[in-house]
Amino acid sequence: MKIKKVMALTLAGVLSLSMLTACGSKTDSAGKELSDEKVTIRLLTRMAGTSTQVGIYNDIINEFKSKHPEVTIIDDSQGDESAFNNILTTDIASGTMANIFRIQGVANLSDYIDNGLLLNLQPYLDADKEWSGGFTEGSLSYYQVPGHEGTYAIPMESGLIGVYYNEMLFKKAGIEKFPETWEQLLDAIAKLKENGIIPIAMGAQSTYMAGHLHDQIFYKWMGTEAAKLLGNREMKWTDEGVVQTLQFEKDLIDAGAFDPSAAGITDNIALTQFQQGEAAMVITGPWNISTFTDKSATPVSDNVKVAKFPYFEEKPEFKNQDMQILSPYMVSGKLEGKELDLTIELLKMLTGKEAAKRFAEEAAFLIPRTDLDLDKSKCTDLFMQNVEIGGTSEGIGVDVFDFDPLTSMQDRTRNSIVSLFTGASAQDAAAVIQAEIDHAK
Amino acid sequence: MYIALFLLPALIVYLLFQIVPLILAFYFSLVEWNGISGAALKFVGLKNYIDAFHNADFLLSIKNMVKMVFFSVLFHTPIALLTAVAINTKCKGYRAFKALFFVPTVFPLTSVGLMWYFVFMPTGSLNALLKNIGLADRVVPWLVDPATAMNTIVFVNIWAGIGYYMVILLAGLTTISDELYEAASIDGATAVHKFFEITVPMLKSTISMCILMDIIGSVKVFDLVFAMTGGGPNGLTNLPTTLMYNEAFKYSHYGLGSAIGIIILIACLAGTLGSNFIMSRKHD
Repeated sequence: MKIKKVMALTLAGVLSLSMLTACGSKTDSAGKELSDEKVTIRLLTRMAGTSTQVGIYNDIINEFKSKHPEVTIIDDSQGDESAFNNILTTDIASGTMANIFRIQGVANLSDYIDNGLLLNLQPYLDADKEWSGGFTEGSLSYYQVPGHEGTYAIPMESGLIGVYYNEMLFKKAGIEKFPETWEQLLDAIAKLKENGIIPIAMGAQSTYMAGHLHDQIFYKWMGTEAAKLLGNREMKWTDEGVVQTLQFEKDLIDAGAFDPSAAGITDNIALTQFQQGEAAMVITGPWNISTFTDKSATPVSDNVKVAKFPYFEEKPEFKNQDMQILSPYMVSGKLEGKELDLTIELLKMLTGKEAAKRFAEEAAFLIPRTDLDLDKSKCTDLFMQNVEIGGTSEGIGVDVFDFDPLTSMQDRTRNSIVSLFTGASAQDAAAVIQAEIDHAK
Repeated sequence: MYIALFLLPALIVYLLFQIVPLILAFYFSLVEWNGISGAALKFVGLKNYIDAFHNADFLLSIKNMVKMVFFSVLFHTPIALLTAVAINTKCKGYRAFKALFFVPTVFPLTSVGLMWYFVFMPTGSLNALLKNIGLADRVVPWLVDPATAMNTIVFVNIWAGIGYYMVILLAGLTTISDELYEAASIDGATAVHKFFEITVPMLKSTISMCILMDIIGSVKVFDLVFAMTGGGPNGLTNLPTTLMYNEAFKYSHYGLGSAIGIIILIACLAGTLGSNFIMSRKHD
């Protein structure tokens, strides 16, 4: 009798448990989970703020949410680079990567792949040719990491990082044509200064601005391939040519190309100086085009033009070696099942043909796809100029540290470049950067 | 038995969030790790500590910390004492003054830091004021110039902390009997005499506590520097706390960052024990 009671109780318990489990997730006969399983997708991108491209990004996410009401989206995206890096660093250290995220650089991806943090996206690219066939070949191959089979990111942003300039301020200073060479640039800086105009808007407190300027100089003096030589240690930061690139930036500082307080100014303040017509030039990427063409944000928008960074007459072979932005979306290597499928679906929606067309026409934001079919009447002149001159690049580099296997090089190089603004010499800055590499050996 | 039960939750929280991280920080200070989950940890002994003391950035941060502690202790308690005594006279509007002086303490240090950043930044309100009153030649990039950057942050730390110590000292002042002051007045003591012969000696233990808290607080300052300069430009305004953060989270030197954390702990302990020793010797 007692045994019967116990058995009955056990059976009832098992039955209740199985009913409870069934409430949580239904499974089909093959054991596959059905669509009402709750899934959470976390995003960690730089798409935050109030810009038009962020609006489109949010529209796509909302569309995805309405298609999949069972999915909860947690968007941890940060517009501020430092805030973004803090979250990313914590995620990497704890191994809790967002479903979709981005890591700057290529060479350092190897460690992340080895530790299972990044998903090889090649099978998904192969399985959907309509989606994958539209990407420019170079942009996809950029994320094929040496020593590892596959493709580890999907490019979501591209375009020339050039010199945006105020044509009217140049004319006011008696300069009819944007300088094509370094010497012409130095002349233009002197004339702009004489007319009380800040030649180049620079907010070195946001260290990337000083870093991007050095990237431009580096590619025009050494070529884009030299960045790879630094990364694979065939070249040193203390080599004469590399130190010279830092010296050129120092020369610009000494020539008064920037606000004397540039080291204490943030990127927003520097950009505002340009947008308000106080500064004649700013080095930035296509992500600011929608701001520069918006008259309410940039009263001088009618005068804003874009050009390539001037080249060195001694190095004509690097005239078209340009800095371009190439930003990725990566997927966590720890996903599986329905969560993985849904993440890939969202990734495709964010980088597909339709999204690319909307981003380009409405926000001047370029996803590197060849199947865009742009309605040029909907695109701004500044965006088309950027696309046109970007198309003449013969060599493309992102940041110089992109090819460095050391993850610390983003901050190390940029901080040392900023030290040029606070009195350090080019040799000092180069020595500090090289010491970081030597220390890691 | 019941007492132990009541203590248990607090003890668990304390162990989990104070002692365990402390032990782990010490462990991480003896290894090298690239900050990637799953990557191997390599035992390197005291190398991270040796590296720290050979690191120019760390030595500069120590120099900045000494400056921060010295000037904070020099100004916080004396100014707080004077304001507390002034308010304790219950002069007209003393309540308003008390609230005003205490307000900076209520704000988070990050907000205080941001507010002062907008004052001291190159295009900030202080420089605008100097330009408008014809002192354009005195315009300085306060947070960038090596001569002014750290001093500016020390000034803000002093400004932000006075109210806190003032309230503590004000509480101490209420414990001094009015009869002592009345007796001194009958004996012909001046206000200055009363201050040095009655107020200061009677507040000795409160003042010691303020100084002790000030030393520990100044060594641990992080948010103020983080909000105002982030330790930059190029490490000029780093304190060991911000350097620890930068080394670990920006440069992925988790071992070195942890070693700096342990050094900060030792500095706090040394400061506490040192000031206790000096105060107890004076008591003797």
